[in-house]
Amino acid sequence: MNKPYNFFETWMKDLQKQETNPMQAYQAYLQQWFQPEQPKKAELGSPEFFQEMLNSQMEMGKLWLGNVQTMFENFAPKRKEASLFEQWSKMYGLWNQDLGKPFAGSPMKSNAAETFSQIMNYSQSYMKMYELWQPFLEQLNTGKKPKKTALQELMANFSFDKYNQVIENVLGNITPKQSEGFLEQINDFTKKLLQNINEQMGVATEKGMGEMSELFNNFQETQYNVLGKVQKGVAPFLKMVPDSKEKQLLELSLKMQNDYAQYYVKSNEMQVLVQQTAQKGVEKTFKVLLDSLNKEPSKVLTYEDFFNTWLNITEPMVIEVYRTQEFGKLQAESLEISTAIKNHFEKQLEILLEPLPIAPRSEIDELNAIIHELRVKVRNLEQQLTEQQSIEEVQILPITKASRKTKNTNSSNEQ
Amino acid sequence: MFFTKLIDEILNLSLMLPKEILSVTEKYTERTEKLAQSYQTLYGVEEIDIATTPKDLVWKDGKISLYRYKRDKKATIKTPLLICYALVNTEDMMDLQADRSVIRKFLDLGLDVYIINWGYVSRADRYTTMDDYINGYLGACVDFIRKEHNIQKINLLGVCQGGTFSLIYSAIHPEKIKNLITMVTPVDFSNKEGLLFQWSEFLDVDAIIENNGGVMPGDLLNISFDMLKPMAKIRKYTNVVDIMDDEDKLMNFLRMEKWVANSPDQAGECFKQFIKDLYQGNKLIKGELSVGKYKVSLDKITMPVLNIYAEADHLVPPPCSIPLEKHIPSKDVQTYKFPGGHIGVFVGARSQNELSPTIVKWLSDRD
Repeated sequence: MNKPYNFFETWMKDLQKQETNPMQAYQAYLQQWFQPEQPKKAELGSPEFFQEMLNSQMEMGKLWLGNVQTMFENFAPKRKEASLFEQWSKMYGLWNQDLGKPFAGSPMKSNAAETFSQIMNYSQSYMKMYELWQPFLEQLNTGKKPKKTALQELMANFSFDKYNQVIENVLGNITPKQSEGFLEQINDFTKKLLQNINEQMGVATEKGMGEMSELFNNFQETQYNVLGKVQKGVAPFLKMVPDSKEKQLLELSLKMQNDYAQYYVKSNEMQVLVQQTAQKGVEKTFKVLLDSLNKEPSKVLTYEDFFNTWLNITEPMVIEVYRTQEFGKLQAESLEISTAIKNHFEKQLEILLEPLPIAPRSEIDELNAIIHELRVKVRNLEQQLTEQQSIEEVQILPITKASRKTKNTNSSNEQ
Repeated sequence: MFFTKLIDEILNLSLMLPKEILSVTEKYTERTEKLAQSYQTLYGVEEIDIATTPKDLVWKDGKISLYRYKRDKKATIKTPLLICYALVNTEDMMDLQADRSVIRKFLDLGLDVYIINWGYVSRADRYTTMDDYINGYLGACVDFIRKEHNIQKINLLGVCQGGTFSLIYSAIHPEKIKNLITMVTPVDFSNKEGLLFQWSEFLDVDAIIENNGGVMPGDLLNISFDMLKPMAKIRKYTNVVDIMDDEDKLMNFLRMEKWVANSPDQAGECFKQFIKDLYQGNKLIKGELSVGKYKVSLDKITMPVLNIYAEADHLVPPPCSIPLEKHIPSKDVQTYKFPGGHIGVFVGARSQNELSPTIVKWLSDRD
């Protein structure tokens, strides 16, 4: 198969052709980020001031989330710069894309397409683990007895960053980073809502700003409290706003922000629990393999030995984490919160669709409840009818058979 | 070749390695070729058929259907068998492929077999309760078969959650069940060996169902099932590239994939009661369970019972199934240990050669 070699060559040529240095572009971007054009401060008490204040909260919220992420990453296994294989890994990823694109549009039948997509996905993890195994390979597969310090050296050279990526991919469901864009969406939506309300409220809003400025100071006390206090901070303002769709939408958006903040913390906690365990798993794997080489120095360890030993050792360790009360509670809470956010979204959608001639889900649910009630009534009536027919049949049967049937009918447990 | 050597030199890894060890490039090339072969093989796969044993639709109410499998000859066991599968996934597992089909084996060995299809739940079914499923639909299927065959009692076989439903039904309506078979069925929910049993303790099922619009999404259940064996998927999808040149093995794999992917949502009200009363409250064993207007008492289980559990079952661990015999007064109870896992009960070679014949003989002896 010549395709991969051709692909490599093309890819390398493309790299050489690139004129812009990606690093320079990135630095320019960072400079722009840290030296933004200073916005003009709005007059205290004006609707614009409130808008700015909320924007600040949003920004601080994002900062806070970033800090939470950093904090959790500090608890997670330490990082190590990418190995020699970083570049190779990129090539592999690009190749996956290269093959994946035509595949996505293929007329493959049934679930074969989904199966191949899964094979590609897990192949990446398989090959990333191969990269991580390489230092081990170099040190130990030379037919010499491993040094006493071999384990420490291996772990010192181990890229936990890459390893965590593998764990995230393999265990899949715990990926708080993926949801970070969500906050931005809620923020944007909330800003627009607030703008509408400000336009409607006019002077009334300005009167409330004295209280709001005091609260604004409170928001800066700790970053952690920012998102939790968004709702409290806006509460006095919301009291002044007459009941409207915008008010309902805003309240739901604020609930979503609050829920999201909680979800983010909990999913990070879960991720750290798993990553710490997975680190112990790979350490134990190395130790087991080192021990086996110490006993039999001439033994040749293949990648499959490493990979299967790693899976066999790590899986029960992860299960033990899953079994803990701590994980069980976090999982249940984060599941509840994530579904609550979904529910808030649906409620917002229902409010937005209200003017249209569409039956909302809540009304359909009422109908479903009535249909269910009626179905149960019909079923009960049918059963009563059948029982009545049976009794009538029994009455025309000889007495001996009738008594046996009656006895059978009475053996149920009806309360 | 030049490019291969160049990459090896760049990466400096082909030096001093035993010949059994592949260099990075060699490993990469090996994997690439396997993936390419997988792509080509999967591209050529025709429709993946499962559950192909011929059957007739004999009864239907809303989304729930009752099928009767076609027979060439008259059944040698006169009492028909009704199979009640779980609401989780589908009953296709009982008939995954022609040479690994519990259904075909049952038919070959002389049984007259009916099976319930629970259909696909939508938001419209959110208020369907355990009472509806057990006393309503399952009861209607039992009554249909009794009437069709003009008999008082039928044989009932329940699988997993369907086994719990069958047990509850048999306790409420013992006069309609001649023999009861429970396969990989949770009965005692107090044992926390299984992760699902452990996790359910913390679940606010009311909130989750409400937030999901009144149903429990099948995909969400599949995620939790995957978590029970967290490394199973990477193991499975890494190894499958090695069976691409074996059409039989590949098709077996794809049929299982198709079955796993078919995961209907659960009706919210039923799911809520199942979690709260059974997983969290263990009310069946305690004698505190009510379903609709009926109090469920296992003291009513006096018919012969064959309780089958799987030794390596990670979904319903043995300690959750085995205690059944201690809680029922039936004098004819047999507990059968199957040496395999939850799915192996239906598709393994032992299932075909040992378990299915055992079930049919057990029914034949009590016909």
